[in-house]
Amino acid sequence: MTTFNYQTVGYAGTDLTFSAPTGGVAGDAVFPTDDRGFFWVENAAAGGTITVVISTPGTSFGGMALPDISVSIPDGERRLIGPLTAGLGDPAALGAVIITITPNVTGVTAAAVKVP
Amino acid sequence: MALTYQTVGYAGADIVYDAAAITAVAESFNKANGALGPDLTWTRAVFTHGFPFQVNTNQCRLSANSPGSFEDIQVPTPTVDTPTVTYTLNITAVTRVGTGSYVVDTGGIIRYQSRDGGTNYRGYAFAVGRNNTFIPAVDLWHFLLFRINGVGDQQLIASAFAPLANVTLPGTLTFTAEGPDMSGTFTHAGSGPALTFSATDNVYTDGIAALGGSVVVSGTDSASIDSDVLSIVGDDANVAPDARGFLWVRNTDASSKTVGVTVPGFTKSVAHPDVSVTVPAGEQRLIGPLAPELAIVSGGRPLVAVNYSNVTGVSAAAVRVP
Repeated sequence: MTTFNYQTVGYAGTDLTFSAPTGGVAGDAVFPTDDRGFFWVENAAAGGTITVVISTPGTSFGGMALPDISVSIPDGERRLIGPLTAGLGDPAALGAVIITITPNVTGVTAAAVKVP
Repeated sequence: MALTYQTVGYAGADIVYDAAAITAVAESFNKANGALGPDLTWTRAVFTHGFPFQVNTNQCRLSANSPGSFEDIQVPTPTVDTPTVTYTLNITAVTRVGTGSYVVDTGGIIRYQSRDGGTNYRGYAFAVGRNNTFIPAVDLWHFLLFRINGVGDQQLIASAFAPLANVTLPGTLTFTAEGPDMSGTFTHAGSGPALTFSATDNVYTDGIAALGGSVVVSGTDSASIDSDVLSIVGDDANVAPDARGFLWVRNTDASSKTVGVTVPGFTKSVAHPDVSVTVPAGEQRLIGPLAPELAIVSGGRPLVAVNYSNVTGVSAAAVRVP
């Protein structure tokens, strides 16, 4: 599992550093939650469309599990997903936001970004 | 036009860069005869008659040699679409042959927008040139500002005139607009004073800046006007203030660029220094938050003023977290 720490937008001009996620079942995480933060995913390779799933903990009416957030990212594109509000923090993971990227992470990089 | 925020979301925001981070364009017309390009790419708009602006002896010439009223609009690409703009054009020569009535002038149009499928337009048109029709049979220089609501529907909102003998070319037309306030100056080498006007009008608040002009001749008369060194400078790439927003600047050029964000205000009479960010070649930077404290009033609305040292290869997006 790769844990992404926030890179903060600033007046010096933030030079984002993108890291390779672990992907798959092991998953990745952003910690902590931040309602001014978001997850930035780049799918640069020609390995096909990837799916980024952000786990949504908790249940709804009648104990029904809340649906996860699922975003498809075609080759050569990027998506900015957020905000990573407190409700997305998984109590079982000490409040981290759990992210799963499938089917592979070839050429995929990501960053957690926040506006101060 | 200011950048519009694109919002981060759970559907995954696919951010689109805005190439409209263009704050300045220039054209010398110092090139081979013929088309206006390639310093800027030009598109003819609205008028399709046979007397467009053309390059002649390294000047931009608007001319006509058959009876009628001929106008032309040429739209540069890239465009500067900002409510605050300074437009300059050097006027180098005017010819007029004949004895009939005539008007010949050139200048520009700001807040230009094409309408009716490209057959009509609106904006503020300003032009400097000569005529003998405003006072019949009296040759005058004129410098005029019209609000154009559509072809054939215009209102003169400012003007200045000078006797023919008092104006000597070359001259420089300068037109500035900030919000509803517009002013023009035509300086020249003659004995008379500069032609100037100012006006306030807020019917049109957005749109691009374009080259424009007209020639009216009668009988066998002919007339032409030459210009050179067009410059359009705006303060676009502005963004509405938002404490949860930031500017994302990408530089694909081979040289670095400097992005400036104006910081208004003073502390103990000392002006706040502006934010200055260098974006190296091939890199990108995130600048923000674009807090309300950064806002200035431009065109009657609060905007964060962003300036670029050069816009070649530069694109930008305004992004906010909801």
